[in-house]
Amino acid sequence: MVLGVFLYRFFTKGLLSQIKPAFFINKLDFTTWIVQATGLTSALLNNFALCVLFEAVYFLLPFVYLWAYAIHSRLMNAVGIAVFTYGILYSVVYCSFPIDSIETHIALMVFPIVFIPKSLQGFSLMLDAARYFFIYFFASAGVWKLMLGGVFNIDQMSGILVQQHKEVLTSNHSGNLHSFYWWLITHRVLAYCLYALSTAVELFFIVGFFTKKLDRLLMFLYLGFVIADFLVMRIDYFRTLPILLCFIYSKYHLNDKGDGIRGRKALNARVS
Amino acid sequence: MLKGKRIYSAVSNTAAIQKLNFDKMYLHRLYKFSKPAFLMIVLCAVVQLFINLKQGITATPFLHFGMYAATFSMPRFVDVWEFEVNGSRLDFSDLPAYKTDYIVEPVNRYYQNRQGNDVYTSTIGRLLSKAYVPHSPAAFNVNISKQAFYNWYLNRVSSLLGKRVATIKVYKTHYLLSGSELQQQQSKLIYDID
Repeated sequence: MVLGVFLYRFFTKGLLSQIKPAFFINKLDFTTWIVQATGLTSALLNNFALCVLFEAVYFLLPFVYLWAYAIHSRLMNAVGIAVFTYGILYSVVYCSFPIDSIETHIALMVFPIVFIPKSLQGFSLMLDAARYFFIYFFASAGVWKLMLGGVFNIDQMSGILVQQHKEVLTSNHSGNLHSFYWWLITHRVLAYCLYALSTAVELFFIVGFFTKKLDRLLMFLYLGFVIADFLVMRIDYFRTLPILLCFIYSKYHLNDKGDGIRGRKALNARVS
Repeated sequence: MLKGKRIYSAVSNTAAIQKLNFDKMYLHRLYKFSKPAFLMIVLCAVVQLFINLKQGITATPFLHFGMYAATFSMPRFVDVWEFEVNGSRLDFSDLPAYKTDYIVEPVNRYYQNRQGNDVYTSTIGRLLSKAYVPHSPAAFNVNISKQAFYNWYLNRVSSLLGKRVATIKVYKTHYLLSGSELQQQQSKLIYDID
């Protein structure tokens, strides 16, 4: 996962060391303020060496955890906590610059919680915690659409598409993309159906709080949502896909002693 | 107290409650495993719900996930950032989405920063002081000089486009949405970078 993020950012020139940020933005986020108050965000401005160091720690820490896990080190728990907290710190700082939105980092911030516990039972419980958090994240998006009224507005999707793609819509030549977006905007009922469908999918995730039997379906629904979001909105949520590991492994259960796995397929579980 | 115990016993013995099977419930399993972990997870859930109900400031990783939930009407007018790179109009339909964001967003944010509306003065400084968090205004200073921004932006766009960029002209263009087209009304040169 970390290697994938690194390679993606490297080839899209999205690493802090490639951007060498010159200014940041003040946001209405308390965690961001705490980090800014330390002076770290300001220190990274126009500082290539510090950006490299800051990112190197972020991308190498998971490998340190892997090593600690492999040799059954007593430091495994401490490194797991470091991976989790540093991941949040890195995402907060990264999104303080005009590069990215914090919502797309949610999986990168939350998923590492599974590396904190020392025991298999703890790992299983934190995997469930990450699963419930993700279900809340996605289902609440649907609830917000009901509460703020977006889903009751027939012009909703057309209005969003105009704002989202205005740079493409005002381009000089009419390519496939240009035509596709105009077609959706002018067919407002069809565009609205896409929005309503995505709301329905989001709200459907509420079932995840009550049963794990539909996890495979939820997984494919989310995958479909991410692909559709990329094609229609040009928003990249692919970085949130690792959280689907919670759904893949939700079918496995601990045995009665809490030191092994049972399920349709056996895993080679390590007992601490 | 005895009456309370009888009521509790009567309620917990009803068929509906028997079906719930508390032993399998996540929070119950977590509580039996580790009380500190249980308290941490419950606290996180309470904070997340509080932040969402308050609909104000967030505290990463506790965010609002209401993207595109507010009502979006069909706009009558649209303001668009347009770019001339080395004298030629930059066509965003030729670029992948991430490059569009990397090129447009810094200009948009820099422009907003220069408009004033200092969030630090109105909100951040006040709330950090209330929370007894030591801080200095310098750590929240978003201003950089025009020349510093121009130098950085030229290098950044050169890197993104993979070619030497000598000049960038940034326009803010006002469009009227009419049927299935956007009609240019007015265009203003905002930044002349070289």
